[in-house]
Parts: sequence; C-alpha cells; structure tokens
Amino acid sequence: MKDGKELKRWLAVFLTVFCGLTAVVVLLVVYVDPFFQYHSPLKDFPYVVDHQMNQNPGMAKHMEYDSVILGSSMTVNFNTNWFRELMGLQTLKLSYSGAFPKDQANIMDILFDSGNTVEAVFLGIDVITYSGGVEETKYPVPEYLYDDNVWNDVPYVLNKDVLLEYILRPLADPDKTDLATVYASWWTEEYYSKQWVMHNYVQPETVEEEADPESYVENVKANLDANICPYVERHSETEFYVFFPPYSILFWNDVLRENHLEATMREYEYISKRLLAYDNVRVFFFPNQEWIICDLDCYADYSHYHPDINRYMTECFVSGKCEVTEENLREELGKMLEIVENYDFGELFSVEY
Amino acid sequence: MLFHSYLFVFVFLPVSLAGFHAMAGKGEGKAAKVWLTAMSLWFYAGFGVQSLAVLLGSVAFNYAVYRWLGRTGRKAVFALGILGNLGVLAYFKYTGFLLDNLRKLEPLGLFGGDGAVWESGFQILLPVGISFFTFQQISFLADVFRGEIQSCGFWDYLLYILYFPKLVEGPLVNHSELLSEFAAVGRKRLVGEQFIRGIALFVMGMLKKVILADTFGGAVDYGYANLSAMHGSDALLLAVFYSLQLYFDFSGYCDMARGVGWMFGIGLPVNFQSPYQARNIIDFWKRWHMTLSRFFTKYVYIPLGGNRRGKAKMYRNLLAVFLFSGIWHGAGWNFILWGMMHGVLYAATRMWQEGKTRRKVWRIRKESGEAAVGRYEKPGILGRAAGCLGRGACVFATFVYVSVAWVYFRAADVAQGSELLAKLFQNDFVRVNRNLAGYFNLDEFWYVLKVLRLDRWEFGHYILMAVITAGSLLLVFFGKNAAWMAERMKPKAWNAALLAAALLWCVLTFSQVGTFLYVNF
Repeated sequence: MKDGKELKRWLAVFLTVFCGLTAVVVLLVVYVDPFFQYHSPLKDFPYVVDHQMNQNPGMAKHMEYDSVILGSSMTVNFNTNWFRELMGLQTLKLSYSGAFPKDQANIMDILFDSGNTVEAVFLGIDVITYSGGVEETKYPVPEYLYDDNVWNDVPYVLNKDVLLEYILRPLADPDKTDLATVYASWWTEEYYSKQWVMHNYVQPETVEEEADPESYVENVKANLDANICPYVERHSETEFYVFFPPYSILFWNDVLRENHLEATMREYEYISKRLLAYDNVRVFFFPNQEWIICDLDCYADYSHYHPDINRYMTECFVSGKCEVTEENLREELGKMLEIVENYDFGELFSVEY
Repeated sequence: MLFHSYLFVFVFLPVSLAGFHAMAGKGEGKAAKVWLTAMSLWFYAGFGVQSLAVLLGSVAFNYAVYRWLGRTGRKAVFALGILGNLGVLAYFKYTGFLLDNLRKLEPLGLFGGDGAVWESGFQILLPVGISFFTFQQISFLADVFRGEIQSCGFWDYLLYILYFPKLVEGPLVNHSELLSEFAAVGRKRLVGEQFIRGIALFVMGMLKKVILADTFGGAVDYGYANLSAMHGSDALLLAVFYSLQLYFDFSGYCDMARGVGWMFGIGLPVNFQSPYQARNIIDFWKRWHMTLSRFFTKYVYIPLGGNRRGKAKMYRNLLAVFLFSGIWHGAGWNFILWGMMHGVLYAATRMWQEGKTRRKVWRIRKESGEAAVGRYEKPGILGRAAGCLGRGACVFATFVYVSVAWVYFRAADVAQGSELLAKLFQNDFVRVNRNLAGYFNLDEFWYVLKVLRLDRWEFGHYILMAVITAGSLLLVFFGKNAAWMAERMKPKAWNAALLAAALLWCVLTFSQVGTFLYVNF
C-alpha cells in the first residue's frame, strides 16, 4: 500500500459509509419508532406489537388512553373494545406475562407520568407473585426503555431485531396488530377443554409440613408497601379496580398438595384488607366463582381461562358483581375454602385423560 | 468492557486512539503510554471493581518481586514470586474444584468430622483474564531470573501487563515483543497503512465473533441444554458446531486484538494460523493458540528437561505439558481429560514421526542414493494426487479427533461429554432437530429466502444451517487467515465501503451477542 492520499481516501470512505449508514438506521428507527419511545404511532405504519417488556413502556408514554389493564397473562385476553362498549373508556392493555409487583410498579411510574388523565386502572393480582422479592421482576428489565435518558437508547436505535423484525418485516409482510386484542394468548378454541388440560397437568409432589399461615404476609406487605400502595395513595383521582383471577380447581389442588392452603387464604385476606382501606380501590374476587373454576372446559391449562371469562369479568366491573367489601370479605373467602374442601379431587383424577 | 460493545466501538476506541496519537504524534511518548495505561484500566474496570482490585494487587506484587529479584537474584525470591502467582490463580480458579473433589471423598471418612466444611458451597469471584495476566507475569519473572531482562521501568511494566487489547484473552506476549514496541512510542510516526489494515482486521475479527461464532453458539447452547432430546445426527452437528464456534470466537478475538494493536502502531504476535488445516496434532498445536504453546514450551517443557534426557522423559514431559494445559483451561476433570487426549495423541504422533524419519534415513542410505532421493523429491502425477488425498485425509482425521476432544472441553462434565459422544453410535442419523436448525435462521437472510420462495419449502427451515455450516467449513479448511487478507488488502473504495457495512452489521447485532468463550480462562 502506498501513498498517504490513497490511505486517507480509504479512511474517509470507511468513516463516511459507516457513519452514514449508522445515521440512516438511527433516523429510520426514530422515525418509525416501533417501541413508541419518542412519539405516538405513525398513522399508516403496520406496527407489530408482541413484546411486552420492550413495547409496554413506550405505549404507556406515548399512546392516548384514559384507563389501563395491568397484570399477568391472566389479563392478556381482555378485549379493550369491551371497556369502551361497557364503560365508555379508552383502555390500553399493558400486560406482563408472569408479572411480579415490581413489574407493575415500573409501568405505573411511566403511565402516571405520561400526561394522560388515568381514570381507571384494572389491576389483576396473582397472589403467588406477591410473596416474592420487592425488587424481583419476571425478566431482566431493559432500563434504557424505561427511563427518559435518550443517550442510553443505543441498544434500541442500533438493533438488528428492531430494524428487521419491527420495521422492515412489517413493511414487506404487513400484519398490523390490533391493540384491542394485543398479547392475546395463542390457544385456539379447541385447546379450551378438560381433556387437554388434564392431559397436560402434572401434580406437584406432596409436602408433609404445612406452611405457617403467616409465612407469606411479610413479603406481601413489603410488596404492597413498595410497589402498589404508593401509587394508589398518590393518585386518589384514579379508580383502581383490583381483581383476583379465577384459577381453575387444579390450582387449588396444587395448593393442597403443597400444603399452604391457609397461608394462601391469608394472602388473599391480607391484600384485600389493605387495599379496601383506600376509597379509590374496588376489589373483585373471582376465585370462588364455582361455575368457572370447576368447569375445566373453560381452561387451556391449570390457570389460564377462556376469553369469555374475561368478558364476564369486565361485565362484573360494571355491575359490581363479585365485588368484595370489608363486610363480605370473610364470607367470600369462606365460600372459597368450602369449594376447595368439598371438591371431589379423587373423582377428577380417577379418569385417564 | 468487550470489543463487541457499543461503548467500545463508539466511545472507548475513538477516544483512546485520538488521545494516544495526539500525544505520540507530538513526540510525547511517556504521556501517550500513561494515557494508554489509564484507558486500559478503564477497559478492565468494566468487568467490575473487584476484578480490577485483584489485577492491580497482582501487578503490585509482581513488580515488587521483580525489583527484589533484580537486586538479589536469589532463587528463593523467584520461587516466592512463582508460588505467589500460582497461589492466587489456584485460589480464584481451583478452590471450588478442589472442594468439590474433597466432598466426593468425604464418604470414605478420610477427614473425620461431620463434613460441614465441604457443604458450604464456596463462591469465589473469578477475575476476568486471570489466567492470562498471571501467566504473563510468571513469564516475566522467569525471564528476569534468567537474566533475559535487564531493566524495566514501572510505567513500562504496568502497560506491558495492562495493555488492553491482549489483557483478558491474550495473546500471551513476551516482554521483548511488547517492550520494544512501547519504546518506539513517540519516536515513530503513525503509519497510515498499518492503521487501516488494523481497521480491516478488527472488522473481520468482529464478523467471526459476532456473526459466525455466536450463531453456532446459540445452537450449541441449545443442544447441550437439551442433550436428552438430541439424536445421532444432532450430536454430530453439535460437535462440528462447537469446533467452529470456538475457533471463530477465540481467533476472532485475537484478530480484533491485533487489529486494535495495529491501529495504535503496537503489534501483537500471531495466535492462530488456520489450525483446522493442520495435518496432525503436532501441526495443530503449531497453529492453535500459538502463544500458549510457546509459553508451555519455554516455561514448562524445557525446564522439565525437554528432549535432552532421553525419549521416555521427553514423552513424560510432553504429557505433563498437556496436563498443565488442561488444568489451565478449566477447573474440571473434563478439561484434564481434554488435555490428556491431546497429550496422548501428541506423544504418539511424535513417536511415529521419529520412527518414520529413522526408517526414511535408513532406506535412503540402504538404496545408496541419488536415485532414491530424487524419487522422494519429485513424485509423478499419481504420486502427487495420492499425496494430496493423503494430506486431505490427515487434515480431516485431525479435525475429527480435535472435535471429539472439544466435546469434553465444552461439556459441563465428563459424563455429559460421554453422553453426547455415545449418541454418535446410536445410528440415528435420519433427522435433525428443528430447534437446532432454527438458530441459523438469521432475520437478515429471511428476506433472501422469501424472495427465492424457499421459505415455504419442506426443507426450507434447514437451508441456512446447511449453507452457513458448509461455508464455514470451507473457510476453515481452505480459506486464508483474516490477518493474511488484511495484510494484502489493496485500499479501494469498494472494500472500505464493504468493511464499513460489515462493521455496522456487527454493531446492529451487539444486543444479542454473548461474551467471549476464553474470557474465563
């Protein structure tokens, strides 16, 4: 290789092409913004929304809504059109499959800071996750998508997946996600059957020693103190519809075999009581809906129910059915206990599926 | 900090190069070296403050021993230095292994007591690159003791150990190689040609790591994690995939390190020379991790006596080298087994080669002569074809043996390695695991398959696995080294643009890339 001019030209071409292409990619990502970090969605772009951890924070920041659905996979089958139809609300679904309380806190930080007037929060509570750690999240959180610092967004604006999966592929093969049903589970109708559920269900090992009824309370309290109650207190203008999802009777079989029935019931009681103390919280208790939980044709596995049940729950939010108060809480918990204690598990497991 | 990170490419490398050349260009050699040392500390601090503390402690200890040794020249001081280094390495790297094995002996009642000590589950942080910087310092002390190093200032020593391109994964550099390069800093002008060849080598190394090694790595991780679901064909592919992954990963790192070194005008030694083109295991170790082989030869094999004390001791020494090599690579019986597999074949090959040489000399003497010599030197067409086939068979056989040994190198333990190898003999080669093939279906090639309407073909799912694997095998068996290509590249606009696009391709993939495999050795 020879003269300096030639080498300088080579370097200039290299740097120009690299910087130029990098700028093109960055500008394209910022313009389309498939994770909605910088602006609301473009009108005509066929956005694909399928990544809760990456796309929820941007949706919470830049979409227009007056209410949100928060919770685990128990909430993914809600259709937000029902909320418009029944309650006149413009609802955004921000589910996190397997969500821990900290996941809810992370997204509430963003949505209450978004400039939207949040009239209602529909918050599904899975008691098992409330006995975990206060800082625990289901998956590692991509912090750069959850903060306001644009300088740490490099992994977003220079990302092959973002470019190919969320910008170029939708352009080549458009299949725009309907936000009303976003994140809906993949199970089609035929999966919601007792045969399918029982065929795939594996009973846990039995545990000899019964869990102390108070064993979960300390962590549950810490989670409520850190991740839920502060938001309820700070946003008295927002109505919190807190609901406990109706897991199937097989969930309760797990609880019995693992010997923590009383501790689990105590969790339900403790969370309900804590939240009922707030004027802007309404609590809905679905686990004791015997017609749902004992009919395994309503389920695709031991806990995930059919979208029709989501519809029923939405109607309850309007009618007040299944709502618990400080007065009837013990009675409703008693019903739950009665269902579990009287259910004939022997008969259920006597058949080969 | 890793080479394949946004921080390194967009901030660290430009800043460190700009600062270094600004000072070195003005003849401020010392300032440039201090700058490079400071940047190297920043580079290593990215792996954690605890690791940095261990590194600095090790450097301080070794420099103190060096000064002491320089004053006294006493063997005891040298021994102290060596034992200190090996002690630190043993503590951080082998304590867990040792306790695990002691736990296994506990049922024999050799230790008395209730054995609670062994149940504690010892967790020790493993400082990144500890094997590399420890070996480098051992070699330095040994050379001081032998009188090969007369003097070395503190800043030169610090930079010799900390110089970031080779700090965490080598190559293992001799003091004479690097200190002479440091001495020239500030005295020679930046050579533009070396700089752009450095860029080219850096980008090619990154392509090997980010695009090739990690693609194979995804499939390998999946296969080993789901070994029970793998069939014979999957096991065969896993063995080949890992051979390719490890080569592209480690040699890719070394290419990047050399490329960065060239950009600073500070060269690093060659560490890989097309190792899978080796015709036998001896040849392989002349091409694979060459600086480690050099280290073991100089500091283990020769001090043990090398080949000077008879054949038997020579073979013993060779086996000892590979035993140490196995232990150096990892704390586990699988690494020891891997080392001994290489050692045994190495010794056997050496034995065979020596016998062959003796027979050849004897035959030439017996046939007295010129005609016989001429016949050996100039074979006919058939002879050349046979020789070519023979060489190909040797290369293939060496690759197969090395790949089998790599199975134990990759496995969590000996049992897992044996489980994979056992599957090779189950005669189930009809199907290939679909998930395994899925790791090769990179998004960027989806469009190509779509345009060619291959995406819905019955075997469309397996096309990229076949193409990438075949292409990689052709590259390792017949291709030239990245360094060879970088050294001979003619500076044209098209290759500048191509390399720039390739670098961007790698950058866009950073968010999915794993760490380097050799980073924990």
